[in-house]
Amino acid sequence: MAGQETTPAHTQPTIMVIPFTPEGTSLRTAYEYNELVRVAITKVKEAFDKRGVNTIDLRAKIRQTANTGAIQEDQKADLKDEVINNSGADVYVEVEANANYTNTGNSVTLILTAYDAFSGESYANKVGNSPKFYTTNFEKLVEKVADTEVPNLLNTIQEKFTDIIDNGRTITVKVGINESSKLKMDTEVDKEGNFLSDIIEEYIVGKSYKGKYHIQGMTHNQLTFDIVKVPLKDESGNNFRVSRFAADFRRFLRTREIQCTQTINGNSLVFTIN
Amino acid sequence: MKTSTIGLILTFIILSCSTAKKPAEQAVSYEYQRSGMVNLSGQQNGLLTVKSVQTAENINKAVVFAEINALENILFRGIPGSFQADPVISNEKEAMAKSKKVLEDLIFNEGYRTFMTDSQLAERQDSKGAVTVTQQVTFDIPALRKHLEQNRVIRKFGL
Repeated sequence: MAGQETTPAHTQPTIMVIPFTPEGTSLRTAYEYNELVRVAITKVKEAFDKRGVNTIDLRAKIRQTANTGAIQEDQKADLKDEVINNSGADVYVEVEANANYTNTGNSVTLILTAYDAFSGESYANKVGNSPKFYTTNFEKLVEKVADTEVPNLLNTIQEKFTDIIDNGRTITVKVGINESSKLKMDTEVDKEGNFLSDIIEEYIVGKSYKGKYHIQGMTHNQLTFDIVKVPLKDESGNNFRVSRFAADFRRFLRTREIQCTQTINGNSLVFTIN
Repeated sequence: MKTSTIGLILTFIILSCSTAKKPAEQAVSYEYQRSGMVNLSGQQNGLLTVKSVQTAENINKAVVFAEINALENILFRGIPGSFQADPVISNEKEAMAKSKKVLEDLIFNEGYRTFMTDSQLAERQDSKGAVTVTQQVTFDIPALRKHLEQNRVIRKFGL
């Protein structure tokens, strides 16, 4: 139609909904032995379905993770991380549901937290309490509180997505120096007297989206950026690739006759200068 | 003579007072103004029911104002305590600039009726030249959201 804007590209993130797991409890146990949590997880998945978003099935991923042989069922402390890393999910939502017994009636507390799977950044947090009833039908109470809080969780997640579109995604960059290297972060690397840390920071300023970054800390052999904003799309309109950012950084260091190796884990980049 | 003159004057004064018409009371015309007097009344399966208070010179106009007020609060403010605690449209100014016609048709040209599943008068207060109503209005929020997504007022869920 005349005058209508072209639709901006729209990407569906992949979502996985998991139970909150206290230390020493596996994801499978937390899911299969807690009906309240299963009801809550189903309500969360239902809400995503209604918004046209598919979710990754938790049980299938648990089976897949166990079948790879990479992790044993009894390594419970690590199982959650393994499942998330192997799931391919962009976002995971942790669900906790607790029954409350009082003399004035019973209720359910629902705690929902949505995270970016790679950076660990929190997208949304909601806590809700159902009304009190003289009932032991806690599944019904979970539904009541989920009906209010889950849509609000999705709305908050969408606000964060809008923020990402406007202000870029977060990656982390850690630059370390090999023990055997002659370089340190405060070694002068050019005729102007700039330190190694200066040129690295200047590079990040230039390459970060809208110049947004944050330095977590610096020592004589390590410089860590816990927030570096990168655009969602590159100049060609394709999804921004973290591997390309890494390659460009390595090439930049080469121009200063500095060699390094790299490790990429999701949105986390680790460079080691030789 | 004097007495008859005075009497004539008095008679004239009395007659003019009794036949003089009082100037017609000017009817006050109320214009719509958004208010925050919209509170959650109920919610179920995506249907959101709120009570909205508005005033106008007649009841029909007041009811329409209340319905518009309810919708505007849902769209631009959110309804505390409900599943739509955040506004459907997070940036009103930007949305109005980008999608003025769509929003005007929806809000002020009765487009909202498609998404309004119920509208009941809950309370009515009459005062001189004004009617204040509390209208209980129900909107189908998923349908409203879909309409706004299809008309690119808001983004679909995702990046």
